[in-house]
This record gives sequence, structure tokens and C-alpha cells, in this order.
Amino acid sequence: MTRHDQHLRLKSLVPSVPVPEDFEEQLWLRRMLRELPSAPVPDGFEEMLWNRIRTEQRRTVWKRSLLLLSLVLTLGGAIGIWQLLTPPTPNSPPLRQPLVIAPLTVSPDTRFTAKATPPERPALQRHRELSPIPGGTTPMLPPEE
Amino acid sequence: MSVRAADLKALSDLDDEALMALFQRENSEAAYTVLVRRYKSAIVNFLYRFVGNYDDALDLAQETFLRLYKYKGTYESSQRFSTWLYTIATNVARTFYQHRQRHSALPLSSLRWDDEEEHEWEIPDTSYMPDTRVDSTYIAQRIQQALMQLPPAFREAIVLREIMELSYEEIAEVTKTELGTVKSRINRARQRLQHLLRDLYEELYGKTPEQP
Repeated sequence: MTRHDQHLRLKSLVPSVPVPEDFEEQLWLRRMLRELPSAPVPDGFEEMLWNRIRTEQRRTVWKRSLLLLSLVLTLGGAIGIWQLLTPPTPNSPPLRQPLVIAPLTVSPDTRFTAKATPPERPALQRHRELSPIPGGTTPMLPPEE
Repeated sequence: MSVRAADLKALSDLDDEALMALFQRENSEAAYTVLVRRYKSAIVNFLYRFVGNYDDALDLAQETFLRLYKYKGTYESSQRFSTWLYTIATNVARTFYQHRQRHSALPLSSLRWDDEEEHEWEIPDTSYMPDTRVDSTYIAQRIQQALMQLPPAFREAIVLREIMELSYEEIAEVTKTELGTVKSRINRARQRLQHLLRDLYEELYGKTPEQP
């Protein structure tokens, strides 16, 4: 058996893959879809796009400014209302009241007879007594020669 | 626009991710412009094939690039830039589509996006009018018309796969859908399109054998 015969025999053993009957129609459809003309892009396309971008940017800036302004106004208003509604509270300790000293009054009749009493010394400013304390310790005698 | 041509030329060799990093780090308008120039055609095309109206597609493409500018901080360097951009475009298109559906007289059931069974009952978008500024030939108009008759989730998947040539994995990432769901949607979208365009195919190539 020649090599060619062997090849034919083997070929007859392998079943051929069926091709659908509408294979050509499917192929035509796909080819037609691929060959559809491209939609043209007009010359002014990019210019129009940049105009839209610039408009959008301006709008964004305007929106942000408006938002910021409204936030500031709202915050200011809220603070104002809060201050109106809240009673004032001391935020520092009260000032010390000044000392009121009663005036020294002497009646006219006793003006020259009444003993003037010196004002009482404050306890801390009292001077120490230098005299020996009665019943206290006796001083030591000097040593004899 | 204050971007100098010399700056654009200097950046043109950088890949998308490097440009995006530059845009994030230094707020480089030149890097942003290079990215817009690279992707504007693809994004306009994707959106046109998805919403079916050229003027809306242009407007949504601008919205996509505007969001890219505004939300550049949300991009992570581990992501592929193109996938991230298509995610933005898809979200923009979905929002637009859902808004339009809400303001039309369609039943509530047609508003459901994610439930595929619901889409079986979805009313096709009959508001589509062929836009000759894009689809000048009869065949292109017919195909776009058929696309507009698909449920949006199917249309989104097939447009990303067959027209934008994204991989299944990328589509799953863009649409935040399971890979199996993506494959199923693409397969079913192909079958539907084939059914919707059979008469056109027969017109061009003769009658095909009956399907079992």
C-alpha cells in the first residue's frame, strides 16, 4: 500500500466536521457589520468640546463659590441666633468687692475727753516682747575666775 | 484651545495609558487632546451605531470626553484606557437611551435592560430614520435599521464585538456583565440580525436553503 493510499484510508476514517448551511450568510453578515461606514467627526468637534469644558469649569467655580458663601452665611446666622438665645454667662471669676471701712466717729461732747484707742494691731504684726518672761528661765552667771 | 502643536507632536508616541497618567498627574491638556484625537472617531461611531442618530451620537461623544476630563481621577493605571473609555461611553449611551424610553409611550416592560427574557418582548425602536450623512448606501441603511430593532443590551454587545472589535472579555468588563451572558447576547443578536436581513441577503445572493 502506497503512502497516498494510507492517507486516503485514514482520511475516510475521520468524520468531517459539519458546516452549517447558513455559514456563508453568517459570514456575510459579520463582514457587512465590519464594513459599515464610520460616522464622520465634524471639524469643530474639539472646539465644541473645549467650549463645553470651559463652561463646565466656570460653572463648577461658580457653584463652589455659591456653596462657600451659603456656608458662611449659614454659619454666621447660626452663631448670631445662638448668641441671641443663650443668656450671658460669666467666663471669668467676679471682681473682689472693695473693703468697706466704717468711718471713725467721735461725738462732739467726748471729743477731748475720750481716750483715743489705738487701732488693734493685726495678730501677725505684733512685736515680740524682749522682757524676761515672769517665772521663766534665769540667765546663767558668768564663770568665776 | 491653548494646546500647542509642538506639545501634541511630542506626546503622539506615548501609549494611551502613559498619556492618561500624564493627564492625571500634571493635568496636561496636550495629553488629553491626543487621547481625544485618537478615540473621537471610534466613540462617535460606537454611539451612532448604538443610538442610531448622528446628532445625538455627536452630543453623547462630547459628553463621554467631558466625563473623561471631569473624572480622570477615577481611572486606575491597572486598567486598559480603551476599556475604561468605552465603559464611560456605554454608560452615557445607556442613560440617554433609558431617558428617551422613559419619555416615550413605550410600556414599562421595555425599560428593563438586564433581564434578557424581558427583551424578548421589547418593542423595537421605530423612531429610527436612516441618516444619509453616515449610511449613504442602501445596504448600510438596512443594516443600521436592523440593529435598531435589536433590544439595547443585544445591540450594545454586537456593536462592541463586530463593529468596535472588542474581545469578549473586554465587552464583559465594559458592560459589567458575565462572560457567558456576553457570548449569549452576541450569539442571539447575530441570529436576530440574520433573520432581519435575510431578505436583503437573498436579494443579493439568491435564496438560501430553508433552516431546519
